[in-house]
Amino acid sequence: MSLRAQTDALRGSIDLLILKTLSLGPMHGWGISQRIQQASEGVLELNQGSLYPALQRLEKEGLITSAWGVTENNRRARYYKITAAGRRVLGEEIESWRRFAAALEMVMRTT
Amino acid sequence: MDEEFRLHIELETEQNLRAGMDPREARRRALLAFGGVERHKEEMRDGCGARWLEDLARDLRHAARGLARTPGFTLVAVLTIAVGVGATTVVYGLVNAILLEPLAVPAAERLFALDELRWGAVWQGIEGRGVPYARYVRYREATEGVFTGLAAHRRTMFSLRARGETMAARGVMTSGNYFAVLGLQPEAGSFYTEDDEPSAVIAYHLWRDRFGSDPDVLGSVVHIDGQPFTIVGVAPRAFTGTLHGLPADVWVPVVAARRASGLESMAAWLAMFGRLRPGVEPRAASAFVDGTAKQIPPDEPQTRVRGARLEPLSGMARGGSRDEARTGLTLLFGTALLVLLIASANIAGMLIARGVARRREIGIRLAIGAGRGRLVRQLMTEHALLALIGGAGGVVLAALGARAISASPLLGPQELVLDLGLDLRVLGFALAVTVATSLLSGLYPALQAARPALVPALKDAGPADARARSLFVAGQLAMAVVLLVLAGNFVRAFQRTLALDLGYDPHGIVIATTDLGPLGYDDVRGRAFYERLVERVRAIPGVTAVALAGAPLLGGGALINDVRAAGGDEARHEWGVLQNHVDPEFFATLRLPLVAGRGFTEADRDGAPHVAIVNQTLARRLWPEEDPLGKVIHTYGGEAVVVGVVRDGRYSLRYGAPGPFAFFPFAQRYSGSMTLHVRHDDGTHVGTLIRRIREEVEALDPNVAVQRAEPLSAPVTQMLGPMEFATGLLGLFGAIGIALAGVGVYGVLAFQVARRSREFGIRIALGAPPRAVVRHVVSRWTVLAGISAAAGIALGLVASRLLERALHIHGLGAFEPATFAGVAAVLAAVGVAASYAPVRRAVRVDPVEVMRVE
Repeated sequence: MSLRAQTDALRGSIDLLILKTLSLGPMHGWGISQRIQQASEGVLELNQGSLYPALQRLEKEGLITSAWGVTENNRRARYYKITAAGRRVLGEEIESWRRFAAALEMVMRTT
Repeated sequence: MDEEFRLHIELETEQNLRAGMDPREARRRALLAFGGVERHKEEMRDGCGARWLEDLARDLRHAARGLARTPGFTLVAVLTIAVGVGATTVVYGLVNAILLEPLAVPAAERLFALDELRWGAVWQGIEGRGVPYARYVRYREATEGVFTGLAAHRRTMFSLRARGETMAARGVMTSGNYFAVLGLQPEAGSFYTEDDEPSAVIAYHLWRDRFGSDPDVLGSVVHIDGQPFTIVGVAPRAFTGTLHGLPADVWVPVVAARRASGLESMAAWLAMFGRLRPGVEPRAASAFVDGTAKQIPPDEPQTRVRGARLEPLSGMARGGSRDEARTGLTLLFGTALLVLLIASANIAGMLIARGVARRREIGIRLAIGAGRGRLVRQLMTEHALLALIGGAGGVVLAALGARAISASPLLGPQELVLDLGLDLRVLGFALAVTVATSLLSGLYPALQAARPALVPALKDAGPADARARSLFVAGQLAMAVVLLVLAGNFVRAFQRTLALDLGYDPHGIVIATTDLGPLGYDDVRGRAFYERLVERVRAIPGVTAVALAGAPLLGGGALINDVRAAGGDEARHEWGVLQNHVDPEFFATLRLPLVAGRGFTEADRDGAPHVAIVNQTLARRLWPEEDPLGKVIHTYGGEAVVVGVVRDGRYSLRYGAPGPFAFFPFAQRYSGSMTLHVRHDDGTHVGTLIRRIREEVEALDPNVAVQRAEPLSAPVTQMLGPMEFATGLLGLFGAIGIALAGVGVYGVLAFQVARRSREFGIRIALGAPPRAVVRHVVSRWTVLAGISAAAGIALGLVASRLLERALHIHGLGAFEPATFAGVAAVLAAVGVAASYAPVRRAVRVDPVEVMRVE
């Protein structure tokens, strides 16, 4: 796999993780990273350096929106929410991810 | 962004606290986990596209610092750009004022001149071919379908008498619809509308300067060529006629003007222009008028009309003078562009050298991960900053140059008034030139400098730089040589014109032209007037001799007509011979030497046998083997006997060798317009003399204006003016070009010597004599310079040949060994001057020191 494709795959998987997390409900940046970390039982630790640029990019692509809100203990935070387009993309991405993962799995098994 | 990050870190910290860490450790961990705040911010800004702005600001700061660090380089580069931009901008300003400036009328692009193409017509003045009034009226009726109106006009000189003073006014006779077709609104009063009404419109500048902007002038009566006209309006301030640089003072309806003069037939030769109807295509209209022209029967039996065509009505005079102005300006513009190219090549060379000098710095930046595009952009920013400063300097230079040109009498006839202000278009041009220069000269060096070959970059300059610089400099040299050759040829042609043997003595003579024709004088009264005028002028102190002629001697003659030897065959027929009619004093006053026979005398009067004096060329052509004296010629006005032969002289400065010429006695050939030729002694002030002549004319008839009063040699000055201007400018450009090229050569040699100083050091250490080192430095250069010079000389010669034909400057394209020797000498001198310092440095390389450097 070339360097470029690898980066694309990683970037794609970050997007996938963010969209998946937000599909459960609006969340601020820290919350997203926590949720992903918890859900993967600590295996996936999202680098903040990729989290915020990714959020910005997804917002630019119209897959998520953001608005300032207040946290449970009354602090201002920027909440991200998945859009309809985001859900559609998420569906497709999950589908293709599953295919990809299954293919990988198959290759692993045969060799 | 900050707030979002802060929250993230705070929440992380709290979580760590809950996990049991002490507060400081909790925060430290949170910060560590988050990473560099600034870097995240930057990455996010990348995402929203603000980065380029920030980069630009940083690049500018960096560039300014870089330039300030090398003031010598900066100064030379800025000056070089300023000179290049300034030269092109100044010439573009001329082009703009003369060729591009649109007429100050609404929708000028819909105005088209209608030119009738005919055989057998004489070229009529600077506004193109014309047609008689009656023919214009037929055109006007026939073209109603394509034009909202077809107007006619003709420039002329009027005697304008107003408030007790007579002045020669630059007039325009026009059709009644002239102002309506132009689409103008009067500044004050109204415009006339009929072809035949005794009304006049005056120019704004005349109203302001002569009438003090007095509104009461409207409705007042002035005398134009002795006839009363009522001033009905003032033209808009911006409108001074349809020719740039040749403003008009007064407009009058053509029929009324000609009726006043009693010369209906002279109403001929009106130029026409029309405004296209909305939706009419110029090409279709042109085809239509072409067809129309062939349907209108010719006004004279000997004329054949070939058709007609439309041409955009611009402020340029049409015909030969326009083509010459266009060619001349194109030439100047081309040479200015050459200067700019040379300057750009210089800048490029300097930038390559600078890039090499900074190669280590750039190499390090590449090595630690700077993008190549980023580096190119940064280098280009630095260069753009340089170019902008230089461009601003160029605009200042151009403004100074424009002022100098406006103030100089060199541009052309004295009545030429040009506005050379730096308008938006000129400034825009300067900016475009600056940007182009910047791209042209900066891109290659920037790409070259940011080449990602890290290892050699960290070590030394590659041979590619040296090659590129050599090519730049070779091109520069060739261009500079083209400039030098052109300038040299112009100087030679100019000298030749100055040293021109006119065949007579033009100095110490003042001429003054008056025209009685429009004032209703017949020939008897006219002759009496001129007889008395000559007497009065002769009595003015300081005047030594006075003579009369139908046209100024240098004006090319009063008439052109065929001359045929009586009884001769077809071969003894000269077409289009220039002719002038003069009084008996003429040859003595002008010191025109007769080589055979006699001059005119008082006995050659009306009723006596008609006589003529021919010049040597005409005599030789008509009677190659025989004595011309006593021979009879046929020409305008009938037969005449040749009584004398005058030495060949130049009566027109335009063309090469003097052509055939014939003189006739004023007493036997009358015209209302005559020119006094007044010889004065050395102590007489020309201005005073001209004023005294005006007074004498006014004393005889206050309605007669002196139309043209100047030294006889003025046409020489006038013709030489533009030539001197072009020569001066070319010389200046040539000097700048070769100086820039010299700097370029110096740069390359200095660069090479610096690059190879180790090698030279080794050579010297091994015992190479200084001569060998010198040869090493310059040998390749001498060859390259030789090739460039040869190419430049060839190109310059070709250009001169083409220009000789286009500009009618005799001998411009001649191959003059002196010129080329001069060019070679200048080139050699520049080469020696440019290579002296680098060569000396090469010879003085201290081997020990060089070895120690690394």
